[in-house]
Amino acid sequence: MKASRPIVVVSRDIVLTSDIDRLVRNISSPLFFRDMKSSLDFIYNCNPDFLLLDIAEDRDANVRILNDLKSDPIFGHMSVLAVFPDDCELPAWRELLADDYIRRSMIECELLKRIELSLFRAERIVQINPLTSLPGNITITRQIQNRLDKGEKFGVAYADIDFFKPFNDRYGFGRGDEVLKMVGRLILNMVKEQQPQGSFVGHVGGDDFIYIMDIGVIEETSRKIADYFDKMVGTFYDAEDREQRKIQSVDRAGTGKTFPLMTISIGITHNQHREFAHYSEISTVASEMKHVSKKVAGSNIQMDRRKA
Amino acid sequence: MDPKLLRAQIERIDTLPTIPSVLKKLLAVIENPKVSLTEVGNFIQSDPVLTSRVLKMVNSPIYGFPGRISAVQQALILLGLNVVRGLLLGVSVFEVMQKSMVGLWEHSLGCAIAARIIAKKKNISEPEEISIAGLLHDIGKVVMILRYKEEYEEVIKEAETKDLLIIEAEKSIFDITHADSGSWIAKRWNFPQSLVEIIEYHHKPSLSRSLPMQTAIVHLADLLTRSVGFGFSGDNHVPAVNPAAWELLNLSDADLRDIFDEMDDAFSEAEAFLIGDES
Amino acid sequence: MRRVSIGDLQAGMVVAKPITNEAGMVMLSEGAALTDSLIRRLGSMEIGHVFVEGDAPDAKSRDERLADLEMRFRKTGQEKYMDTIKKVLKARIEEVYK
Repeated sequence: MKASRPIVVVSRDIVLTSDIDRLVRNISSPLFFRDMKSSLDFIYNCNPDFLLLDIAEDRDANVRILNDLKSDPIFGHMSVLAVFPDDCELPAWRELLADDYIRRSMIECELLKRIELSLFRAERIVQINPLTSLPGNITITRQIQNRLDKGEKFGVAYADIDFFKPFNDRYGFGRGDEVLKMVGRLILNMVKEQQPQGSFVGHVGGDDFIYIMDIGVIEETSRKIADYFDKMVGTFYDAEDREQRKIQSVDRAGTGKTFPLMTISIGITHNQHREFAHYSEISTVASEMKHVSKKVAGSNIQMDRRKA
Repeated sequence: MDPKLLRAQIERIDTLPTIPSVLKKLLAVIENPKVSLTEVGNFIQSDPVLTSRVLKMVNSPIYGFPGRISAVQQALILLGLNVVRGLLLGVSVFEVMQKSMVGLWEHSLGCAIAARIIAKKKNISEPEEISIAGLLHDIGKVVMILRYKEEYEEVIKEAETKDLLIIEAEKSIFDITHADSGSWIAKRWNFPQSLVEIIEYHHKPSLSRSLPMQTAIVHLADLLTRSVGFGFSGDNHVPAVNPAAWELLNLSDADLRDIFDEMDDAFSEAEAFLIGDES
Repeated sequence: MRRVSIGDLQAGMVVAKPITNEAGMVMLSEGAALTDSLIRRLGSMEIGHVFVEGDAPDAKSRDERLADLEMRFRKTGQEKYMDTIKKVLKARIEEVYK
């Protein structure tokens, strides 16, 4: 199996890099960098599938940059193989977001097979939405059910885009996909900025998104998401439509009609005041809230305040 | 020189360096764990090189909005703080600084500020996007100074000895101008068409077909920034305003006074940003 | 008299032109000496700059600034519309040194 894109090797060890160069030559042309920092430009530009990181030197700085990179879904799929010196203790894996590791002395006999395996594994895992790189339904269900089972208190928000279909009809799927990618990034980055730990963002499909946050921050974050959506959405229209703040398109019956610019509707629920036993209950309520929100003109959020 | 060859060479440029005083502040921004997206955004949009770096990334095919994003704040929201931090980590500085470089940075920031002020005065709906065009209007100079250091020194010498504008001297030595090189790199980096067009025509605003008003604003902003003597664009005298652009903008003397007033206030802040706090 | 940005005000500076709020009410009149607490209060108002007495320490003289202006406009000052821009700038310089 050949790597479709070059693999990235981060190491200062001349012996190690020349070994690697010789070993992988048949499947890929590796690119070598002294440290993570100097590899970033390449990674950002080429989004490689595989990175090999030598843990022996510059460990703290390298690991910090790596972890930031891996926590972004666009780069999270990149397989990372960490090379440890033989006598080095292994860290807690939550502190080093690697996908696999190998001891220095095993490089000669193992490296090639490890790379092949991880590239193959990456191909099989398709639980993420290919458009937004966000996790899909299986992961979403599991995330919510796990929290319910553990008895955690949390908020769940459903978001979807109003007037997305007429936009798609007017501008085509390509432009529609751009908007979905924008919304995915917007939600992800706002959620992670407001709550870096313990939050979750998923893409249900189409123009439906979901996110989980602490109850105390989810309403405020949703408001910010709606504000930024309104600020950004004009960028995706042609100048004329943007100026007029409306578009000509067709409705579901196929008749020509005028539509406003897209807005976002967000429904939020939580288990502060009532118990949910199952994923389906919480998703039903959140989507009810979203439908309330959709009835209001413009971007809107609705927080569930019922107690029973 | 052969414009085709120049274009091919310029399009191969992947990254531009900034000036040392910006790099110093940059580290403080990156290392502050509590920094907000807005703060990072304000910092980035004070520097033409940092801004182009962010726009290049967000408009690259990896993110999937090629040619779409021209506002820094939007770019940051789409990229996320971690990616932006990483992007800033890779910024380098000019190895050899030309003495006029800080002046060019001031001029660019001044033009960004003036463009925003004029755009607001004219009730244009996206003043921030025009401000970014003002910030990047001379990016072609940075490109040429970086890629053709010696030849560009000749440009400066030629302009001095023959009392020409930089753009005239560029034309005589390169056959192309910084408006050409700037628009080439902006196009190459997938910047929105509006940005490419404004950069290309900021000296000839009447040639802009789809954005005559926006291009006229950046053209005048460039000129007003020079006429108050803020920063240094490379020229020691102010070029003439394009009459058609001036008529299109249709500013009264009172408008002009308001604009200069606002520029004054904003410029003293900008100066503090670029030169101040050198402790 | 000179213009000073609100961020650059210092205690001891003397107000040279009345400072008014948005409603046009005079908050500080001519001749008032600024104190730190006054400066803080001005900072919370929608004011960009204040006119104070005296020249800036390194400020150029009126004639120097006018000469700089002439220099910048030496080749184009006669061109269409450039005289308008120049005239407005000249009036601004003269106002500051009145």
